[in-house]
Amino acid sequence: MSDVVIRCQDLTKYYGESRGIENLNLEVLKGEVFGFLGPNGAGKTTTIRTLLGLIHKTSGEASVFGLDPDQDSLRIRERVAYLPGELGEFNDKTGRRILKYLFGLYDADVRWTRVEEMATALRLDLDRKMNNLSRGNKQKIGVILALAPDVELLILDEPTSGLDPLITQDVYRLINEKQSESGCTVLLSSHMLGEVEKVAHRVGIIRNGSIVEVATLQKLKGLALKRVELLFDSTPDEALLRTQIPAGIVAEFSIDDSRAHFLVNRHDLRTLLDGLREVQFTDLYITSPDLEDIFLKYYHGDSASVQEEKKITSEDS
Amino acid sequence: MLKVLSVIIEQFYEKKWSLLLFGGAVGLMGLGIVAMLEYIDISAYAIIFESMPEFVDFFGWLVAFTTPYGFVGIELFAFMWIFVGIFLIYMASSSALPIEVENKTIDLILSKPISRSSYLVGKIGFLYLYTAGLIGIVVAFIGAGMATSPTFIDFGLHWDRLFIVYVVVVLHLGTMVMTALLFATIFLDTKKTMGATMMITFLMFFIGSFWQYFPEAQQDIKYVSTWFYYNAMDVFGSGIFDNLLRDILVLGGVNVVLIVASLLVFRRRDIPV
Repeated sequence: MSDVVIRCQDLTKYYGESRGIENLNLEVLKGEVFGFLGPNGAGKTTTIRTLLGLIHKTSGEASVFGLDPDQDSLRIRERVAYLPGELGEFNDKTGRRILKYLFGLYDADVRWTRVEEMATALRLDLDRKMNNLSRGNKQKIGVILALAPDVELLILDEPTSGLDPLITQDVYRLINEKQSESGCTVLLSSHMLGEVEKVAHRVGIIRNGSIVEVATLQKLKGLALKRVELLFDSTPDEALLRTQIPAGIVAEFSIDDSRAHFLVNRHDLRTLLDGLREVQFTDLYITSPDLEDIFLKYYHGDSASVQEEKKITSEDS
Repeated sequence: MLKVLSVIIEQFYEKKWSLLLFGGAVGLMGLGIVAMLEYIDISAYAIIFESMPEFVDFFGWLVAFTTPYGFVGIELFAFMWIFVGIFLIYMASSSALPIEVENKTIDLILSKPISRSSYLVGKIGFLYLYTAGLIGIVVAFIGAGMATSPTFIDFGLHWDRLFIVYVVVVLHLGTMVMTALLFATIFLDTKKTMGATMMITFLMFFIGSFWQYFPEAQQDIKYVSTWFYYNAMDVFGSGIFDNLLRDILVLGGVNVVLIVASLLVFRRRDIPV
């Protein structure tokens, strides 16, 4: 049996004239937590909705468990739990009623004791009506809907949207527990990089409807990018500093009091150091950037630089 | 099957009060119409109509006023599509599917292992049961009124007429509700569904009721209107069942066609965000 749970090959979805996703290529492996990163409108939800058969692809191929979402959507959904970005309005129904109704649509029984345990862990009153719940509490219902059934694939679209930091922590703990107990695969879509960083094994970055990078967190952090920080005695002259640093090799340049920091490609470090000979800094730090920096690089850089980076990355690997 | 049942039960949970309240209100109105018979002399209508043969030639159906069944038939069953049908169109236009799209719950529901066909069949089952239940409540009130009305007792209690008119009304309202369902699967939008269904409904009513006034060459258009096959006055008012089988088959057939078309549309269409 293949270890690939989700496979997309040149997957394209257009809504009339407007682009949803275009030539998206993606593989999610069995048993991994895959972080699907990108801002709103990048195509994350379109990809997920195509995989669930809620919308039909324009071209390309998609498969979940080796099944075509257009043809075998029901067989796919028997093995999947999904949490949409927005749970929707169930008006005057209680959380308990909604959960019983939606769990009733699974062939296998969902253990109610597990539901109660999760509700307790999330400090959620199941007997309150949905229209009396805050957005965060509604989202907790969604989290239970996604995590309580015994399924092989969890698709979580912004699972902590609207939740406070404490509950967010609980949700990720529950996801971790669920994944380690059942070994299920998780596709976790988010724009909250710091959160994905804590649970994902691999991360895919989507930009303008296409995947621009897929890598393990380690690999992503250890990509050609390096964060460089220069310390000065006083606030440096930005205009002068910019002329001293070789043009075109740095990104995300900024000055914060007596610190200047920027990203630079590992392959340009020597050129950078040559350029810095004339700069009167007091200290220098070169570190691997966090995911946020990498993400910003992908989104702020022009497409040419991204392609160049991809080329370098693939050469590295 | 259990999943279909779950959908039906959930729909009833949401709409139970509207069913009971609206059914009760129309039922009480029906009971009131039956009770009116004790305070008016319908035999006087016969004398009036006998004195105006030309008027009766033009409005022949008014003769039905001279019997208690005809009176209730005209006052209630002939206008059931207005009293109940428009409400049902409104209810079906939203609850058939658009409400889930507008409330953004459709993704969550259809991400569960239920086929689109089963989900829609659940909705269809609910809409028929709701319609049948609502008309059932109305008919129960009328039946109670008939059983206690001296006028009806004197004339004779024809329960077969009441049962058959119940079936015909449910089938006729079913065509209106299933039209709303079809438009709901096309538009997934309450207002558009409601607008399109009302347009079709009034067009059908106009054709089915006024075809006699069309040029003779165009009168065959009457066969496309479901109103042509809705002869509640014949079965309840006059006890005439000559076209009953044809009417039931045609109205049933229209329901089936609309259901099949809805299923075909909904199976293939994208669910909007």
